[in-house]
Amino acid sequence: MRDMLAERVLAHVVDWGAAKLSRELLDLALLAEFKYDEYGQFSPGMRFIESLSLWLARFKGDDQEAMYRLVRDWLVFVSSAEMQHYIKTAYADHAKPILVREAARRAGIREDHIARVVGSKEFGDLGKKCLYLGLSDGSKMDDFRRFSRLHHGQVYSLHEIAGQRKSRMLKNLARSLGPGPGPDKSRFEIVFLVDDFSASGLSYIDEKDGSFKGKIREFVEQFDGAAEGGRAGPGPPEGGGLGGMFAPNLLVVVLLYAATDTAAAHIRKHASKMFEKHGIRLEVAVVHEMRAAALISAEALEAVEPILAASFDSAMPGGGYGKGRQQRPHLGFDECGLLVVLSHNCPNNTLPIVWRESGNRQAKALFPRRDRHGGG
Amino acid sequence: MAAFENLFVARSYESMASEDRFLKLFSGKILGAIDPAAFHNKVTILRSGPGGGKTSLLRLLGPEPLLRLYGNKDANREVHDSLWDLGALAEAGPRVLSVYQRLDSYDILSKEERGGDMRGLYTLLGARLTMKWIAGLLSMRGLGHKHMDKVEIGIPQSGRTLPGSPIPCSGTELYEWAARTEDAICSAAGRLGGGGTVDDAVRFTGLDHIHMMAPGHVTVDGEPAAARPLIALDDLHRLNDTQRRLLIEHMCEARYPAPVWLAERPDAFSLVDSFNGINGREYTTVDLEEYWVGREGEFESFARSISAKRTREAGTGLGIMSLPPHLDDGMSPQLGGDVRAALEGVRARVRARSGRLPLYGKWVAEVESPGGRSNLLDSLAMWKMLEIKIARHEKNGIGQQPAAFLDEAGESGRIREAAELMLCNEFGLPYYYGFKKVAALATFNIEALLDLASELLERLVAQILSDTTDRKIDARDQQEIIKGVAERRWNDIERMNANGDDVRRFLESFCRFASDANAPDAPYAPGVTGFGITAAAWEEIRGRRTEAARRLNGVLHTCLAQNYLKPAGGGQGGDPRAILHLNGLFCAHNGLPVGRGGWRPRSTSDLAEWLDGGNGGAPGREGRHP
Repeated sequence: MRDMLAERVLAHVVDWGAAKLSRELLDLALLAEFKYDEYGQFSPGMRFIESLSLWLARFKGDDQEAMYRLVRDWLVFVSSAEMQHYIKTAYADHAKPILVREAARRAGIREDHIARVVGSKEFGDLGKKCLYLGLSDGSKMDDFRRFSRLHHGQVYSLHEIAGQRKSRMLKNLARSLGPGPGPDKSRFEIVFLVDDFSASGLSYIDEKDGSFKGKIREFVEQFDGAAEGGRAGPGPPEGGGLGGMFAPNLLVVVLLYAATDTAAAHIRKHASKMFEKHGIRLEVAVVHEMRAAALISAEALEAVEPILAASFDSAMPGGGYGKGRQQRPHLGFDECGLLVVLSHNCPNNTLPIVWRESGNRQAKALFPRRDRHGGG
Repeated sequence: MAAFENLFVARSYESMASEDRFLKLFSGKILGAIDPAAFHNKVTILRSGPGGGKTSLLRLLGPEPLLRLYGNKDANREVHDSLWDLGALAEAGPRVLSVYQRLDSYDILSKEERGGDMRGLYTLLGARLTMKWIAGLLSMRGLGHKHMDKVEIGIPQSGRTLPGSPIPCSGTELYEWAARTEDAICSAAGRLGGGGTVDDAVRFTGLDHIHMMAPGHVTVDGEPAAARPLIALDDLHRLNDTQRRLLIEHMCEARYPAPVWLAERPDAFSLVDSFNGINGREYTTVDLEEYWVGREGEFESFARSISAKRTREAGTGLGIMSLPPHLDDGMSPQLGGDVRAALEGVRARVRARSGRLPLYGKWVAEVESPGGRSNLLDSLAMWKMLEIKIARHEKNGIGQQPAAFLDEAGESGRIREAAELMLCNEFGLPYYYGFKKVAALATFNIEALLDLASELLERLVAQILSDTTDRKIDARDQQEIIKGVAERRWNDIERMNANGDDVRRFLESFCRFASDANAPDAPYAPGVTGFGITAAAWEEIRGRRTEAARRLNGVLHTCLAQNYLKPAGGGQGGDPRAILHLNGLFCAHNGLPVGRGGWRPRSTSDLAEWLDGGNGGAPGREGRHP
């Protein structure tokens, strides 16, 4: 069903003529029906074509056409169905192969003999020694746990774990491992840090003047000072901190449902550096890796950059926007220059003209963004 | 403001959201193609290209649509009355219970190389029909599956029973028995990977299940089941050639106590039928598209009815009740200047030639008289027709006594078509516009009609939304839309078919040939749109003894199955030919006339040349008209 009122509004805003309008409406109606109408931050009653009409009204003449073409041709919308698919496959296709590889090495079985590896005691024990921690709400750890059929005692939606819970987690681990290993062997050996999307990787790990910041660093900080020179080695959980929870050969896997190749490379480089001195291994696994350079062509971006710059409200957006590069803030956080929208929110790495309302909200956003502090 | 849904996009029954909507959108005029005898114990083959309406017709006879129509004739009075006339509905209720089954994925059960052992296929098909039949009996009484115990099946009066079946028994027992048979065959076929047999896995029953479905020994909830079963088997073309042949033969010979309808796409067999004329004796063929040949006016009315139903239901909220009134007839102000310029050009040319003979002067005077010409377009067409007439006269010999300019019976309409097409090609004037042409371009295929109407409705809606006060689509815009649809279909040839390269080259060559056959004197007015092959040539192609014959066989098979070419009879006379005409939309894509034009005889070597992009011989002097 198509909303004729919305289509009439669009017809008034644009000057396309009947031939072009009929072609574009067909495509827009399809995009709206299959994906864009489900965007979670539209105000009540608002849907994609209404939002597009109000947004296009900001521009006139050639600028309007250029901005329409930009969105029409380059916008990548990750729908909730796609995200659910990433979550469904994250464990089976990305986490489990790591477990198979690690278990195969310990059991002395060839890695490609998967059935043998999965049937081995090493695989069973290692599976129990894994911890899955969410880095944000977007990680949807409840869905992740259901789809991967993991024990709920291994899956947490937060990466910062309270002290009492640490003891309980280790006791549960010892119990699940049975009478074999002693308490000192009951340590987690792999930690999966799970999140939905990263475009730059900066919010996960950022290095300035030799010190590190970001979510991964926050996780490491819980290791009894390990991040600054201690070691994530064994120790009594009662000792406080997370240091006693992990085996010396800890493997940290940053598991992202979707990310750019730039973000994955950034995390790999900087987090490895941070972990290096602690002897912690790092891997980054991405379910849907997007080539940042292919997400929008340099020519397309260059063609609209004057419009983006002219439309950018000089007041800097909040929510840590200033932490990235800021020479050309109209290209989004850290000048990523992306046009990616997730069904529940729009990342701030996307061009602000798409998600930011400005001019006392007179200039409407196409996909309004809500940041984690509640602001737009 | 309304919620709009372009219902021309909704294709088949399966995609319709509800029975009510299906009934509202169904146009009963197609039921005119069905003979009441098809509801008696006969075998009927329904044939049409994809989107020709076979499945919708079969499903119309299902319990739910029939019960709805019986309960509320206003759901679609036209369909109700037609079904009443055909005897499918009566005072007491529906008289027919369609037992519908698609013949999909059955080819695994009897490989051609095994000599066509059909026992597995028949037993599986019989089991499935039995389950569908029991479900249908319950639906007729408004009962669900959990009431299967209320169905009681006794021994048929014919005394024929099914080996191993629990008859006499309840519906539940029979259903479970059929389900076990289905499971056994499917799992055996699965184990064998389709390469072996299911001989030892099940007890074969053939298709004797159909004997058991005859009314007279079946009760539902204590009442006799009155509706006669109608075995409706869809997608016959999905069986392999041997299975298809054997199934038709079996159905004809078995003389089951139920009408059997088999629906399929046209293929090589439709050509065989046109040669050997078996149609009407062993089985009756109803070609849902060929039915309209010679009834073009009725098809246009059918198309208008479809258009009105779907436009009204679409809910644009823009006051569009039907499409045809919104299609410009060609005389929009934008077009006037171009028509005037063309008229000046043609008139000057004709006047320059008119001095050659006094007769031509008389014809010019006839055209210049205002009677009968309502507008500039008419005048232009007349001048062009006169130019064609003079060219013909000069070609045939100046001394010959020509017929009067406007009194050749049947010929003037074809020359007018040819004249309009020539004007289109010479002056860029629109030719493919107006609802009559839209209907003709569909070549009697509903899906093609819906494709065209869908795009036209979108343009109309956009035009009105843009605040254009003119609520008609300009003729030039119509042509652009129609050509767009035609181009997409043309470009789909390679994407849709394994031998798409061959098919496309073949059709491109044919279209070049057809264009070359057109001359200033329009010898095959309105133009060539088809070719004819003899029975001997067809046998040579089907024999596949050479590489060219093998490729040709594949190309013709694809063209017939996909509705790219339509067979048009031609089986009579001492030199019987199968005539194949190009699909109307492809004619539009290649600048050929709308509707069936003339055809030219071609040999297998001509056709083989077309496969490789060759000329396929010159058109020749012998002219053939529709």
